[in-house]
Amino acid sequence: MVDISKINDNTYEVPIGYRPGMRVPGRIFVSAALREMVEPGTVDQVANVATLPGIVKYSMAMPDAHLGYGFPIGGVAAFREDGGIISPGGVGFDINCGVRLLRSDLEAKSVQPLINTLVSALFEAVPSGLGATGRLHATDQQLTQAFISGSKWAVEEGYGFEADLTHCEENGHMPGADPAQVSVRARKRGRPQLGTLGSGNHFLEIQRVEEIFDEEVAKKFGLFKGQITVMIHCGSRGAGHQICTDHLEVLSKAVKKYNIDIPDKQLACAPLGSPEADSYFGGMVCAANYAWANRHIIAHWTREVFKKYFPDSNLDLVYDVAHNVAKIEEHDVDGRRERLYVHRKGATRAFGPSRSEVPDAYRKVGQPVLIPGSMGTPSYVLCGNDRALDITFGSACHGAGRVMSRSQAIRTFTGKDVQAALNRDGIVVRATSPNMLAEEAPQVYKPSGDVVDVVHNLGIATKVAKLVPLGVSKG
Amino acid sequence: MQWIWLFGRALCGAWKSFRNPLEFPLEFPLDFPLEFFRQSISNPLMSSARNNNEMIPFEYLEHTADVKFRAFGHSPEEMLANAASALFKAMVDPATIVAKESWKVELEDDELETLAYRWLSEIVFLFETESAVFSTFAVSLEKNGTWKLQGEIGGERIDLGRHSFENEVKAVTMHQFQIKKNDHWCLQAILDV
Repeated sequence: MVDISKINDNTYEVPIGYRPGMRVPGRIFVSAALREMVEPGTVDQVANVATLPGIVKYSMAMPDAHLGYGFPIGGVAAFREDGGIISPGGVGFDINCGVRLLRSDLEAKSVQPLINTLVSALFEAVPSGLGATGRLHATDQQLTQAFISGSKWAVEEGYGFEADLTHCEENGHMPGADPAQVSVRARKRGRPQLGTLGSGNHFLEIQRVEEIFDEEVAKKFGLFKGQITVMIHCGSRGAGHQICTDHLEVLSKAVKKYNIDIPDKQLACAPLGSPEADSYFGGMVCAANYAWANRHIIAHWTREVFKKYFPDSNLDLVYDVAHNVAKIEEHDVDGRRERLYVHRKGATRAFGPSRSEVPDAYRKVGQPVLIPGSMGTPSYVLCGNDRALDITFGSACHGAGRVMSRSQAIRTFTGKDVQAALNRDGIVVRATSPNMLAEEAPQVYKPSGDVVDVVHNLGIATKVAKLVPLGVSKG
Repeated sequence: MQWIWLFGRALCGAWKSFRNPLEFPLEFPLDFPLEFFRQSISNPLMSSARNNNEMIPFEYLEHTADVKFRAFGHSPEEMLANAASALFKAMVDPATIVAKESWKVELEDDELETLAYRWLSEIVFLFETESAVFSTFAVSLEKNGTWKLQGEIGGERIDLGRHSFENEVKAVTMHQFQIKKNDHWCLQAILDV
């Protein structure tokens, strides 16, 4: 077997021949220290993706890469419209799991004394945890509108402001939604959950801007040292999970119909332009829009809580990014402009100033790239750079990346200890299940700073600000 | 012979573990003889998972981000019922669930593997839409051109006072999803949590 080779300090190549059928090499963007944390299975998954038809340039893994299903988590791959495929394995079950960052005009010193009250109020205001249903009680018709128009629908319903929309990737509503591709079962799961945070690694966090790395860009993003920010991390809930499950079944049969040889069933796919591919894309976009609507509604309730305790304050939207999605984008490939289906699974779009998709407010510098840490570790705001277009189809990492399994975490930590340790560090945590807290202990993730440094050093996105948690509400 | 083989595997696993501590040291092939499980399983997670004839119904394997399990059975029906138990035990301790209500499932598919995938996905769907937790699973299968599954699931509505969740299974993945038959049936699956 051919082994992986080092290209530079932060890039490793998985050569064609690492496994049979690879059409392009793999690229894993990690430092030497992070390379040690990449499991062999993750490298195999990078190689598996490289066998898919129509893949362009490389099958890539971001610095937070770890073992996933189908694509690795942190996987990025682009496929030609002509001859390529679309695969739910490159998007995941939690379609458009993403992050939204709100900035306040408050300084940490005025919020800190109320942090316990605020976290409890947020925990009450935003339904979270397993089996949680929303305060919304959406009708079937409203659900359809959420699938079609995402955040735009939420604004029409009185959640958030029109100005928020331009500060969301895809303006919070991606074109191409086809509600006919969403099953009754997906609707049944999704309808009561609209406006809920969920469980697992999803969170709602009050943070303090601890460090500014780039004053000029931070000013553009409206960030300053000592400022209070709020980060929301969640996705499309049961709607997205069921849409993925339903289409995975269809696509697992499509690979036989179209004679596509796949090394892993989770990489089930269909040729772009086929009815199965169109159907999955239409359903996936519905889930993506649902997730944007969901984060919009949660942001609205967060604003209500802050208004109650700080009536003169405002929470403005910095940006909202998708972590799990497949999108049609134009990129330069060998000197030609091509329409590609870019799959990002556990990866963030990181477009620089040259891209028209970046909102006007940030066009001079690039889009905000939001990298959440774990409960006890810092989150980062970076700025997208045009260099990323050449290296990663304009993509960066999406978080710290797990390094310890959930079962090992439960064996190693107790929820009570994790909570006590966080409290010692001055971080207030409210969670519905102590066991789930153990699984998400800060130690189960790679150091978020190391992951972000690789992105910064490669120049695909540059560091702007470091945010530290003060209070966390978790499912 | 079996012990020599096992010693070799353990040594190999220990070496792999030394080289890369993230890798689970012992992983058994799907077609490993059933005899092995009768004698040597010492996973404490399994203590409540044995049945009368000593075949373990399922086992969990290490996975960085998700839950991986293998479920066994003397018949495909038993394997599918055990797989459902494995899925649910990853969420809630079955000892805390009283099977006072029942749900029926009927599925049909050309392939056993797809049928199994749909069966497990159905349980996730019912858990969420019925707000219920399940502890008993009975499966009957019929092959007449296509596979037909009839399932009966016993459980109760979620009571967060009694039901403490360890994970929320979002979905059943198809990654490394497979069924094998040797001298027993074995289903391997990875759950997205």
